[in-house]
Amino acid sequence: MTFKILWVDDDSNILDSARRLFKSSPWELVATSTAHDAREMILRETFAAIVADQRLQAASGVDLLEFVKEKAPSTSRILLTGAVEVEVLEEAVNRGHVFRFVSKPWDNEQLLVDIAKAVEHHQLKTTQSSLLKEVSSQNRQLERLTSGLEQIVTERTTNVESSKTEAEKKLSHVRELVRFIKDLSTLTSVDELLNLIRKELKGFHELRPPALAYVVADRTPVILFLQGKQVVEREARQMWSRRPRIRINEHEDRVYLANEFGRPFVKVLAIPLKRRAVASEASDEAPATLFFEHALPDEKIDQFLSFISERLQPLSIALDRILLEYHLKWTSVQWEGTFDGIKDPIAIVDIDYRVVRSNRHFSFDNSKQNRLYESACHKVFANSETICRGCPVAKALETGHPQKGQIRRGDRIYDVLSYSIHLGDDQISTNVINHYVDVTSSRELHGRMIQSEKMAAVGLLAGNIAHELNNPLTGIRSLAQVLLEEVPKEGTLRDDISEVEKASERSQKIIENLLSFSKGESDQKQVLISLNEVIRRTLPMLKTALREHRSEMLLSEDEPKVKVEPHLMQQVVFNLVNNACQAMKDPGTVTVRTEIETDGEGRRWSAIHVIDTGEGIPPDIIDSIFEPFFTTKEKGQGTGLGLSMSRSVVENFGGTISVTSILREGTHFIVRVPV
Amino acid sequence: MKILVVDDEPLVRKSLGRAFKAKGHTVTEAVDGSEGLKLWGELLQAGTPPDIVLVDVLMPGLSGPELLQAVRPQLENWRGRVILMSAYSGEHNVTTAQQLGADLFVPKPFDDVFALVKTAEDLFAQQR
Repeated sequence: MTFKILWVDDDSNILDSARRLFKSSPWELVATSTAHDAREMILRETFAAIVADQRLQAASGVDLLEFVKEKAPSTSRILLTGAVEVEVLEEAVNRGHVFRFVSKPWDNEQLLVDIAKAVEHHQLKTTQSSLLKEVSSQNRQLERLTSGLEQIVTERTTNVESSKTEAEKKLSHVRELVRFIKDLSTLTSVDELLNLIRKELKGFHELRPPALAYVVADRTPVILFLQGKQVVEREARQMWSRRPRIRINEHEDRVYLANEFGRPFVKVLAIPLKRRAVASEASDEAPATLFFEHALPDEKIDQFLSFISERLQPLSIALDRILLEYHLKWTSVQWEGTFDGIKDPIAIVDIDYRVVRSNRHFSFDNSKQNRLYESACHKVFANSETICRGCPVAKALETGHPQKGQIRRGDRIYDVLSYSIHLGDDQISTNVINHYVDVTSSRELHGRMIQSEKMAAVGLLAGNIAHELNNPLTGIRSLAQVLLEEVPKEGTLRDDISEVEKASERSQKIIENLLSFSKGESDQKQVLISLNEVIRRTLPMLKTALREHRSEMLLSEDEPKVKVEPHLMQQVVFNLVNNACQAMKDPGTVTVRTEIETDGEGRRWSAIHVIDTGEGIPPDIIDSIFEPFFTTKEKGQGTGLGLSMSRSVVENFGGTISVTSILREGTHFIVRVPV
Repeated sequence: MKILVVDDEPLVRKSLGRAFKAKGHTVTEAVDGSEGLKLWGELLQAGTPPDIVLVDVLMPGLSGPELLQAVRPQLENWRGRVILMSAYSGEHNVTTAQQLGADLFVPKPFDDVFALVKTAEDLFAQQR
């Protein structure tokens, strides 16, 4: 850049000289003759130096330089003087801070050196000042920056703090949600769900406790609501809206609730839960819906809606889950009900005879409490400590094929059908399902049928035989009677004939008894007869059986009559005596004794004791002997119906039949019939 | 009295015959229903009708009731009595006996054959 030098002198010659001087200089000369113009120029532009004459018109050079010092301090000031006076010097230095004094006439070279130094000085001053300026501006900037930073820091700090609160808020919000979801996950019933919703919404004071309408597994619409603290569940009177969106104070919902609860509803929020994930095939069914009666102001409704919306998904899932569990429970209850509804006992039993599952009828006393798993099946079913005789379970497991067996429960007989099943992954079946069928009555019925048919056949046969025998017998007896008339009154011939007559009479009685014995039940009614008479009528038919044994008849003197069907009672006596005979492999004694007994309650009984000296009955089978078809005899020897028929006959007359037996000593049967 | 016994059991015929004869009666015996019908007819024809006819119910060929049915046309002027006998006790009683054209039913075997003779005599007496 070209520095400008201002020259102020009222002498034009001087200015001309200066102009000539500066022509070949690197600086630009600005010349003026008045202090006034100079001042204006100083204010207008920047000069590296000013050369002012001491003696100026209207002003002194010192005055001008003082002005310059003040207004443009960086401009180097050079005073041109004609005469150097001490006062001028002093004044110029003090007031104008003159850089150089130049005396007129000047030495051109010296002047140029001085000006050069003045420019240099100016440069220095300018740089200094600009540096200073820069420093100060930088300082200011720094200050600004600092204060700005502080503000930013404050702002940022505020921001950070507020975002921290926000984050905390969000966190606690999320925590709340998580807590809610956790709570939901532990629910086991819709009751709990409803209570949880109420608890969750307790911040909304203007909200009444919720009602939940949903459809259960069997498609029954159900409404669940709170009555005080009690959760009430009942079948809904009608279906609610199928629309899946949240509804505010809609007529449809108000009408629904009004009908459901029998009172008007003014403001209602209906929040349908999301459609069930495991929807039943009936996709047209109304979605589970939460209903709130409320008095929320409008601005709070939004707040509530956003609150509930966030919870809608987990709520729906939780309800879904509960309903699914209900469905499962309901299904299992159905199965259980079906299972229990079956009159036949059914049980799943494992390889160790432990009950895995069973229905109610399985336990011997029909109590549910006895459905203890891990209990032994024979204990639960038959109250027995040992495996039931005839149990097919082991064989079913062994063969893998269904097996049938017959076991006892008390005085009942059961067919057991055992099917092996695979409950686990095992290759070998370790479980069976047992189906128990009470065949006692059918066996008895069957037995009675056989017996009655047999008896009918015997009766028919006996009738025919009786007729065939009676005819010759009639002749024998009558002829004997005729002969008795004809033979002499004394002599062995008469006695012989008399014996023939008596023998034929006995034959006649036997035939009569045979006819009576073989007659069906319907043919005879209960009559009053003494048991002694029954025995007397029966014994002739037992002569064959008793042939090898000794028999003792100890009939009571008192012969009170009892009300029985004689032929049936005869069968009982026949059975007992016949059994007694068969129980004795070696010849023994059969004692038939009648007694009149009085029991503790003063009732009189007529009793028949039949006692043998046979093998006795083993204790493990003594309970079974009155069961139909129970027999220890060889095939074809007995039907196994004798004792069971005897018992049913005696009980039919209001009596009892009992037995005691000692092995290798004998057996003692007692039949008691009320007098 | 003149007695006709119709029974397929020889011993019954024999004993009844002996018993009635012992009491002074005349006895004709028939071995079955057919012979009974024939003899009964012949006696009626001969003018010696039986006063008492004892008929067994069950007989091979013609049974007792069938015999009574068959003989009925010839009995218009007959004043005798019929006693039915059967080994099937309880199967027939007085009522059914009357329906079958008999006056009395007697179950077999008889407890006392002479009591039966007496009964027959009483029946004959009533006839007079």
